[in-house]
Amino acid sequence: MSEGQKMDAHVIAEQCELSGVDYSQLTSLEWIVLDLSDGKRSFGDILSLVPVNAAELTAAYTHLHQLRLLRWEGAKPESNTPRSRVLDLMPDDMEDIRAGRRLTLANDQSSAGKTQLNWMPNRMPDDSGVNRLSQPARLASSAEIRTVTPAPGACACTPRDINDTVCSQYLPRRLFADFRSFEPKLLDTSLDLAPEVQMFTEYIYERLSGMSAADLLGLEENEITRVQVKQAYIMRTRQFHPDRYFRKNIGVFAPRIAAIFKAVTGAFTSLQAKAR
Amino acid sequence: MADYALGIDLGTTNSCVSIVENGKPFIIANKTGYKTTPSVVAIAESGKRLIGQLAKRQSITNAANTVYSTKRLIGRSIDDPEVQECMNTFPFEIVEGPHHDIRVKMRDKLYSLPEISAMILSELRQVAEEYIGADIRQAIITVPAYFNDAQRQATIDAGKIAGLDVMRIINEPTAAAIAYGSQTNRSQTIAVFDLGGGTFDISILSIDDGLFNVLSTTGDTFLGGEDFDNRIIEYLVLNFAREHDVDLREDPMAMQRLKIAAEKAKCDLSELQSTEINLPFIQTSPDGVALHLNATITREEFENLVIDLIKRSLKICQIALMEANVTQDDIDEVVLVGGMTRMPLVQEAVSQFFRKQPAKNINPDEVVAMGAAIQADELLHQGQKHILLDVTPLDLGLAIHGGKFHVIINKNTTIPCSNTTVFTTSFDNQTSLRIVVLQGEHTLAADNQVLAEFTFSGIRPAPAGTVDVEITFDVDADGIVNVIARDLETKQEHVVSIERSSNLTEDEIKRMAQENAEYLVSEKEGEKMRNAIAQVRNRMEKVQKLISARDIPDALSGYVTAVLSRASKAVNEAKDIRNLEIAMRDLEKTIALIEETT
Repeated sequence: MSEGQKMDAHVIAEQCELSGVDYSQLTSLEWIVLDLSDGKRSFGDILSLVPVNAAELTAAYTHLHQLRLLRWEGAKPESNTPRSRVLDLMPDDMEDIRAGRRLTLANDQSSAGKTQLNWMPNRMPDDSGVNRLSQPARLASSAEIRTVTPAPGACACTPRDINDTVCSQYLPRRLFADFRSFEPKLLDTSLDLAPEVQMFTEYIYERLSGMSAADLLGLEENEITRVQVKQAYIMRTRQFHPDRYFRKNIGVFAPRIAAIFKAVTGAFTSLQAKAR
Repeated sequence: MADYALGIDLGTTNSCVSIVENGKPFIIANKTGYKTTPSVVAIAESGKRLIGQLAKRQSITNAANTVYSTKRLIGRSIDDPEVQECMNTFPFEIVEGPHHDIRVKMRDKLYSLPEISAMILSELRQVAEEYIGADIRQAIITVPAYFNDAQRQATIDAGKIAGLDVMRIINEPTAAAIAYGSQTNRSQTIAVFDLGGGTFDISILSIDDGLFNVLSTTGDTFLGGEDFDNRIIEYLVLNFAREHDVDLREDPMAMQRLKIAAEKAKCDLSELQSTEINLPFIQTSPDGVALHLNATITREEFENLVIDLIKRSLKICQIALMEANVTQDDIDEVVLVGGMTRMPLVQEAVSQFFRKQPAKNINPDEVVAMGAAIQADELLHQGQKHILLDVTPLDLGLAIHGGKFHVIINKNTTIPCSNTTVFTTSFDNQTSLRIVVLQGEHTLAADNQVLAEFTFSGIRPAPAGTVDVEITFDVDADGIVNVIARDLETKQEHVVSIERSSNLTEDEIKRMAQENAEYLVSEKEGEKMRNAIAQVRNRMEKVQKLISARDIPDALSGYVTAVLSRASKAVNEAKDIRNLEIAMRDLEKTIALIEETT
């Protein structure tokens, strides 16, 4: 697909089987596209979820297609682009890349509201009052979309990075490194639960007994005031109250979510008493 | 079909149904045009069910077959002292059911209380379905905050019998808070003062950014508008006895008339300073003279009759504040719920106690159903507008040695929650532990409600106090309690899920649900039949008129006579709707023919 040409909003892409691809050459945006392409969300859906314009998203789709990671009906047959090289070494500068070039999702607060990748918005939903993820394709006008300013330096991310960016809003800084090294075991795409939510839930659940009250609420040590504790509790309630998943198929995550909520409530009560 | 869910306020005296449409809750008016439906059920002589206003209107002439205030009885056992009191005062017959539960009698048929509630629920569901034009199965039903497990379960059973999928049972004051809180974005602490027909509830909640956190909830299941009515009735009966030496309490019909008059007088006194009660021919004296009841009650007299009831409610408010760990000054707003809060003295008492005027522009009769509808819609669509943090209404725990009640989960704990206590054996060589799960607020085990009983066995014989058994109580978001007993030595576990102690078996519920559905279908068909008959009759008349007005050719008259006789046969039989449809078609044809040829 040539530069400037845009894809049809109704195109629904699905992931191909992964095979020895060098993931390090994917941009964060491409990771997100890959993650969101569950065979149900159309191009338009995904466009409304990410802070880029249609041309940029088209480029991401095209690249993923060339890498044989994504396919959709009507896509041009795989061209003769050389198959990506097989990953042999993790780049040495991985940590720098992570620290530097990230999608602006997490760091840029102004775009956080738009991205909707914060799977449990800690603010009131938009005027429609309906969770966008379940909305039919809705193309945002390009004026609404923030473009991602390309960061300097090479672009390389791992699957972890998406979760980092998503969850950095929900974890205190001191836990980032631990979260990065965490390997989820349970990811199950058949559940009514987004993969990033599954991963975050599993992380908190596994670490539950070792977490302090502040850890559980995602608070930095210097943030423990009554107001902040309450805000954090409201956010966690929106994430982990079992009513969020009322009669949803969330399998083994149901008892985990309940257990986390109970722990969060305990943490809230104790911090609230301390902050008094 | 899955797009709508009902919010139903199943009240002691009045019920109300609401639905969220385009993001806003609406109250649906019933067939008689009122937004609330009296919780009254009757069976007419024809076997037809009468519900709501229709049942209430005929209650004087059909007192023995008219059932009301069943919410006061639901989920209780027959020897409950409250039930015994009702048996003495209610004009309909209350008998013992097969499970030590309560049945009421109408036209020689016994009905369980969930069946009675199901009749009201079916009616409300029908009204809503007609309004929306689609089947609606899912619903949230509200109950007083102070209802125990058995009472909640009986309400769920009622929903099942009415063919509803009860998504959840929520507390009335909480529902009211949701309806109130959804109109405002301010962070605040509110008190919901709910004085309904039969029960009194007070809840303290904090509302922050769409999070409804119940801080405490408490109440009295036997304090409500009917107690106020009863005070008026007692007053009238006493005065009547003084004057005529006749005890009206022995005459069910007179009591029914008094009940209605007292309720009306109570409502009038919220507006007026005094009201008259006139009940002519209420009794005949021993020497055969007709007696009339003529009395005047002033607002002041009425207030003196009920002041202790109001004081009792304020005492409960104080307890609720203490349990929520707040004072009157922390309360930003007081929301009044229930028709009884229209009484000026109640409003005055509330504003004195909380030191602020209660919130205006809230309809105390409709707010609960609206809140339930909002919550049902939220659960159905996950709109992320708000999340409700509810609490356990009563202490949960175990009966322990010495007949004491050991609390494991305190009342007003946010659910879901769990808590663990380690118990030990109390005799030497004790190998099993009898575990009695209780709910209530009394220190003596026997005074609380038993939720479940089971035996945990396989404990190693050892001296008393040396073997530890860990008992965990777990309450999920639906309020269902799981009890897990674990031997810390052998790691042996015993899990008991308390599927709420219902008074009816699954089979009974199924059968009752089927009976209810069959009745509704036959009722619907009966109505279709009645409509068809009316239409056929109307056309027959028209044909008759045409015959007498015009000259019918001989060739036609034979046909017309045949059509008419067939139609009248179909009407008289009133069996098969198809015969009526055929008759209808023939009559239309005949009318057309006559009009063409003459």
